[in-house]
Amino acid sequence: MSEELNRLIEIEREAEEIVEKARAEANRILEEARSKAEKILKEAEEISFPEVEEEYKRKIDEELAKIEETFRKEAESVYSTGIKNLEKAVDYIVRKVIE
Amino acid sequence: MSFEALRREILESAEKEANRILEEARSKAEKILKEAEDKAEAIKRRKRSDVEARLRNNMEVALAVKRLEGKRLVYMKIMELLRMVEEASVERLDDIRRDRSRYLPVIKNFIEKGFSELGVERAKMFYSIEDEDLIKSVDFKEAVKGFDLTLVNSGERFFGGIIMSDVDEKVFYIATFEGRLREVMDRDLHIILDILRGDDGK
Repeated sequence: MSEELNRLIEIEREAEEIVEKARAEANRILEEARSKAEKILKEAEEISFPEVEEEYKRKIDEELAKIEETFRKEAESVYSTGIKNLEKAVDYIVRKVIE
Repeated sequence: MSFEALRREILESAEKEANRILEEARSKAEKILKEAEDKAEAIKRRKRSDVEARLRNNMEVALAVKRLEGKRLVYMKIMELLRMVEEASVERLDDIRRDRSRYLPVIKNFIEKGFSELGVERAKMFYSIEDEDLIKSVDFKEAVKGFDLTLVNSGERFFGGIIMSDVDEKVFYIATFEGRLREVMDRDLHIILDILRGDDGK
C-alpha cells in the first residue's frame, strides 16, 4: 500500500512538472509577445518619412521656381510697357504742372 | 482501474492542462501583438499626418515669402519707372523755363489762377532770382486784368513758376514747378501708373 502511494505521489509530481513547464513556456511566450509589442510601438514612435519630406521639398522647389518666373516676367513686362509709355506719362505730368 | 491506467489518466490530464495553458498563452500573445500593430499603425498615421501638416505649413510660408519678393521686384521696377518719369518731367519743365516764348504764357496763366484762387484784387507775386530778368521785361497787365499785382524778388532760387500771396502775406498760392510737380506726382499717381501700364484709355 505504501509503495503504491509513493508511486502515485511520483506520478502526481510528474504531472505537476508537465503543467509547470507549460506555465513557464506560457510565460515565456507572453513575455516575448510583450517585448515584441514594445519594440513595434517604439519603432512606430521613431518612424520618419524621408520620402514625404523629399516629395514636399521637390514640390516647394517647383512652386518657388514657378512664382519666381511669374513675377520676373511680370516685372519685365511692367518695365518694358512703362518705357514705351514713359513719354506719354511725361506729357501728362508736364501738362498738369503748367496748366 | 489498474495502476498503469491511473498513471496514464493523470498524465494525460496534465498534458491536456498544459496544452490549454499554452493555447491560452499563444492566444493572448497573438492579441497583444495585434493590438500593438494596430496601435503602431495609428501612431504612424498620426506621425505622417503631423509631418505632412508641418511640411504644408513650411511650404505655405516659403511660397508666401517668395510671392512677397516677387511683388517687391515688380514694385521696384515701378519705382524705377516713376523716378525716370519724374527726371524726364523735370528736364522737360526746365526746357520750358529756358524758352521765353513757352515760359511766359505759363507764368501768366499762374498769375490768373493765383488771383482766382486767392480771391483778392491786390496781390504780391514772388519770383525766383533766376527769373528776374524775364519777369522785369514783361508787362503783366493782360494777365492781371485790371487787378493790382506787386512783383517781388523772393531772394530764393526755386525751380520755375511763381508764388503769390495777398498783400498781407497771410494766404499763399504756390505755383512753383517743383511744388506743382510734387503735387501732380502725388495726386495723380494712379493716373500716371495707368498711363505707364498702357491703361489710360487711349
